[in-house]
Amino acid sequence: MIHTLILPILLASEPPTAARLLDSLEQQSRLRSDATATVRLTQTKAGQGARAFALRWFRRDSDESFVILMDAPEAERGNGYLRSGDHFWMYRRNTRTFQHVNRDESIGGTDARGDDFETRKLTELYAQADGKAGMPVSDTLGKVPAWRFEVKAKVRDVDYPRKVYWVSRDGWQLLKEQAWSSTGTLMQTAYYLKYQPVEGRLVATRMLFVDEFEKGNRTMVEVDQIRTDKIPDAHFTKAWLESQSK
Amino acid sequence: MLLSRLALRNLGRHRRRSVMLGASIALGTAVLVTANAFAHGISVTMFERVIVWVAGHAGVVASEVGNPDRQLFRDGPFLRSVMEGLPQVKRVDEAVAVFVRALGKGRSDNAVLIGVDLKSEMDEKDRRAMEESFRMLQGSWTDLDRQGEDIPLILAKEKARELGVDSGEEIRFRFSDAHGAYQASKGKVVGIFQTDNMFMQAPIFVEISRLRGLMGYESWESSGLTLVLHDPVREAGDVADSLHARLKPRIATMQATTSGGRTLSVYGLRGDSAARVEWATRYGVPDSLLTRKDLALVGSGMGALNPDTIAIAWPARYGNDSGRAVLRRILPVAGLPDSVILWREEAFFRSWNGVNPPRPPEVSGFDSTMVSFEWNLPPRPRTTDEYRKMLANAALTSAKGPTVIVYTMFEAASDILKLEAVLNLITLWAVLVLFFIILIGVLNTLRMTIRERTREIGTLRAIGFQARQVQGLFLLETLYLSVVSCGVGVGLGYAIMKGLSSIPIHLENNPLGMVLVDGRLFFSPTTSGILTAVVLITMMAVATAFLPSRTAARLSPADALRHHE
Repeated sequence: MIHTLILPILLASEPPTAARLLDSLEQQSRLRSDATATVRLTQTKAGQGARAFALRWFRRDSDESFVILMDAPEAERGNGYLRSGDHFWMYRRNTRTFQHVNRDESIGGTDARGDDFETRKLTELYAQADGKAGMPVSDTLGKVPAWRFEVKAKVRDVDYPRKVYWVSRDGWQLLKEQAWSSTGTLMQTAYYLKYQPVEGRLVATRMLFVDEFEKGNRTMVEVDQIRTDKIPDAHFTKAWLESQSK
Repeated sequence: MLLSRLALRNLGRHRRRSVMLGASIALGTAVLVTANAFAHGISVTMFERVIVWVAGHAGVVASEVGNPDRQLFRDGPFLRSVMEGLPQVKRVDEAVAVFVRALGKGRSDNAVLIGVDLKSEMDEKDRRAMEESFRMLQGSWTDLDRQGEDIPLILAKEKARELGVDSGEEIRFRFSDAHGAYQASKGKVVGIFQTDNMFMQAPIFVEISRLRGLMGYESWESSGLTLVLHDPVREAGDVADSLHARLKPRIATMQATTSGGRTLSVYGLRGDSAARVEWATRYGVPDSLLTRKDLALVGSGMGALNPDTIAIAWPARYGNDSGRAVLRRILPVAGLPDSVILWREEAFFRSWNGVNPPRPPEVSGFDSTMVSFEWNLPPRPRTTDEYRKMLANAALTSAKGPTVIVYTMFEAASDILKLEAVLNLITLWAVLVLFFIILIGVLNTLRMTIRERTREIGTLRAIGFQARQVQGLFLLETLYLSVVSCGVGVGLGYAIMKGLSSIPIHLENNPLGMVLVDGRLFFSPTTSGILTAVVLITMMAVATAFLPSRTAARLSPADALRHHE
């Protein structure tokens, strides 16, 4: 009880190090068990209006497996993706065929890519940025007090070589994330709008990704029906994916 | 000699008939020569002005993460030296290109950024071909070399229209660089060109070193290279076979030192299921560790080292950095030399790619089914389907070493070659139809001519000419007439080609536009093509004259003299 009361105060008082914040973000995003969820993406493209995608998502990080089943739009319904170890397949319902795809492949016509589902450690990819920018400083997002800090990529095969994070001061939840290119162009801003407790942890369930390069493009991601029950091994097979798409 | 003089005299005496018949033969020759030059022109245009820009005559594609659009080979100088050493190679070009989202003035579109090497050692012929293929309406190619913050861009007028930009205006881009990171940049239009090749309307050209910088290539890294050959049709296959043999990979190994100063050879341990069974059985690896992608097997005699972690460092092949890594999941096993570490290839190649070590020497002693190679080199594709399948299968090796594919234009640019073959076939059929119509006319005329001269044959036979001499006389007449007419026909063919190639043709957004050069039909007459046409027509004319002249020569002088039409 005391711990519950004091920890947020301790967390909120002194600026933590960027390394601790990064480590915290990594811990929060790490799946400790299997996870199942439904995801709804509303993708708005400049001059093209909004397009809704719905998918069911089954993920098990212990052996790097996941299955995605597309439910909407109609053109994508029944299609799916299966990742099992090094293999990453796309299933097309119309042709009833599986095809190997690479990690850069778009998922179901959305802006999400195969490598978005890879389980690489944040602390292995990013480190505190040089100079003052990397030092966490106090900031406010709306009325929410936050720590702002910048990180730089330690490796070259990341989506963005530079990021700026805003995390809440009272629980170190990620609130906002800016992604920058190596040429110093702001590429994307992500807003983490809503969190939901799942097995004692807060999980982001509503996120808005704003394309800063092509103004007017944005994607709202809403995660629902999160469950952490063990997923049967049979789910991560071609046969199961095919059976679900009928 | 007598027969020759008589043959020439006869041709002169029957001037009108000779002229009419000769004109037909000349027309047939001209059609054949023109069509042959047009068909050859299509091939030349395709091989020297289209395929060169699209895929080269042969080349090497290297990709690291199974994405053929993300091309990266870590040892560019090695790749270039392998390719430049081949005698058939006229030029080695670096193929730097990337798909981009381009934003112009209020409009956006997909495009391809292509690097242009202004320092490329093009000969005058290639330079002229480039200038004719891309006719500059504004600016010039040298404007790509302008220094400054804004990257100079040259694009087709169609693409400029789609993006709503004109010379001097800005275009912004978003794309994934060679390592998969999103990148953004902007450039300024310094040139606009017109092209008849609709495939060349999509690219936006930029100076190659600027593009390499944006793509995140180090100076020693390459995107893959294409070859321009002296004789592409004949040499492409052999060159690709030679390249394939020269690019045989070695077992990947890093000579690393530990923090304690020990020297170790670090190998990549293959992670596919067959290999896992092999090394798990050999070294007694428990099942719980089989799927660990950071597992490192060390000899059980390495007890002096820290049992939990091993920090290693290795020199870089290029650049000043040295590589460093910490191996955390160590499993001492029996049967492995103390100077060797077998590290799961996923982790091994992450370090290998981070700082490329010097090229390993040829190593033997390890079972090659267990350890990784510098790169995957699938067998050379023989068909387009095989080539596409290989590119798709590269996705299977996403976490491991690079995949290197050696190709020729016959697999990589087969669609263009099919178009060339179809156009050549259409040309051949059109020519055959036209040629036979003319030929039938010529043959009929020859037959009638000989028939009309039956009484003359009778006179010749009556004054002592043998049948064989009479036949020889007619064949000589046909031969002389054909040779002279063919000569005239060749000249006429050149005149037709000059006339047709002076007519400007506008084929916008039409694939057939790529057979045009400088907006005009392109003819490429060859000596062999002309000689073939001349010999073919002459032989056919003489062969046609053979039968009626023999029939006429065999008539008895009395019958021939009594002959009336």
